[in-house]
Amino acid sequence: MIKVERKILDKIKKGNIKPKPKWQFFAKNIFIWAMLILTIILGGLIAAILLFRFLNFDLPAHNIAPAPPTKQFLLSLPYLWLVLLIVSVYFAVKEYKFTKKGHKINALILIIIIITASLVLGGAFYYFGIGEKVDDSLTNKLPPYKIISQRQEFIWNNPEKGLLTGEIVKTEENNFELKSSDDKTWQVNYCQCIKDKFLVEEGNKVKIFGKIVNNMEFEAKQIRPLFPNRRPGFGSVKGEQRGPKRIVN
Amino acid sequence: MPHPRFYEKTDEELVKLTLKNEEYYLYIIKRYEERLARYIRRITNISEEELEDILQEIFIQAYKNLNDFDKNLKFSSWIYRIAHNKTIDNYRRRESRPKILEAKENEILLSLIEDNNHFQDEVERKLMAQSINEVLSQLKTNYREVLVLRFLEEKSYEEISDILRKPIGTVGTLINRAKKEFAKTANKMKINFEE
Repeated sequence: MIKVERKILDKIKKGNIKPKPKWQFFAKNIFIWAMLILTIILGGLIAAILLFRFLNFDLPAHNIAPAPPTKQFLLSLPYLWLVLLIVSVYFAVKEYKFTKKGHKINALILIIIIITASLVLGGAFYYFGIGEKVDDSLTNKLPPYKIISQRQEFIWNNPEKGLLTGEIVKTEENNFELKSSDDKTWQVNYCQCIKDKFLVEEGNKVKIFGKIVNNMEFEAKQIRPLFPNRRPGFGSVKGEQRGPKRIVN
Repeated sequence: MPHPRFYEKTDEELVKLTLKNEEYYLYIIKRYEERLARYIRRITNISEEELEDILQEIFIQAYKNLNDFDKNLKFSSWIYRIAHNKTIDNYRRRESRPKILEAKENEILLSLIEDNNHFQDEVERKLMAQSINEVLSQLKTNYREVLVLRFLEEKSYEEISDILRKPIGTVGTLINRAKKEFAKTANKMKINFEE
């Protein structure tokens, strides 16, 4: 028969041990929930960027593509953001497990709920253009991000292989000046017979399929918007027509 | 010294009283010390001296965290959870071998795990109960724990879920697996409980 009650009570009294105040546990709970909410918001932001990337995913026409569609698709996947989404879901699950009723829900169901919450929030963020704004800001302000971001303008900017991406800075009758994604200036010639010329307008970000004809001179066979589904007001293409319409000469 | 009528108070009432006067904690300790000691003995192999130390740690931690006691939980689940965590911590620290249960306890466990009809008579049961020591000692800690909580501590699935902090469905699965593992291990060890 074990008898420790007196020993324990003496320890409590001698050590002047007191129950921790309620506010400490309250603050801890608030902190856990705040972290969880922040993680889900972060997951939403990541989902918004992923939505932006997937909705603007666009493969070059088969006849001018540098690689088979599957390979192009795999090359273009935003791995960084996919990994970050998985990490955010992992942390959200862990944080929820720290809440008082965190053990009540099965981990798989919890993962599904958190992914759904991230996607719904991501949809809202995407709708308000927040995803692309974050993606753009990181691209402009964080040089290493360009290397790992898998953004179309960087993975498709390969003039030797007939792919050029960038922003139109100056237009003339049969050509325009393009500041490519690697900050080089190209003169791009195009035929007036191109059906939809609305893309050739200063400030538009485009991807061009064609070939190098001279030093820093490129001949366009096909011009398409860099981000066909960009939200209006966030760098969507200017001109009479918008959208992912293909322009073929 | 508070009046003996306080023994009739519920755990929750005693918690409230303890928060006002530490002397009432004595009743909580008296109520749980033997139960927790038995539980710890059942899931791990430690000396009585160590057991006393762990018990002191459990009750002091519980006292410090009394304000965190979730009224939606049973107090017993809450304090069993603390006991579980402390025991596991100690177990990991010491890497002590799994405890061989008392023959009497094994008998109860066996009768609940297996169908009672499998046993011919009391004598056979007692003989077989001795073999359970060896089988249980071979089981993984998590399997041994759920079997002890379910069949010896007689906790409901919900209580086990709160003690081990696992979903109820997982607890059910764990108990089923533990029972199967128990039978499989017994079979491997050529111990037959069905004759």
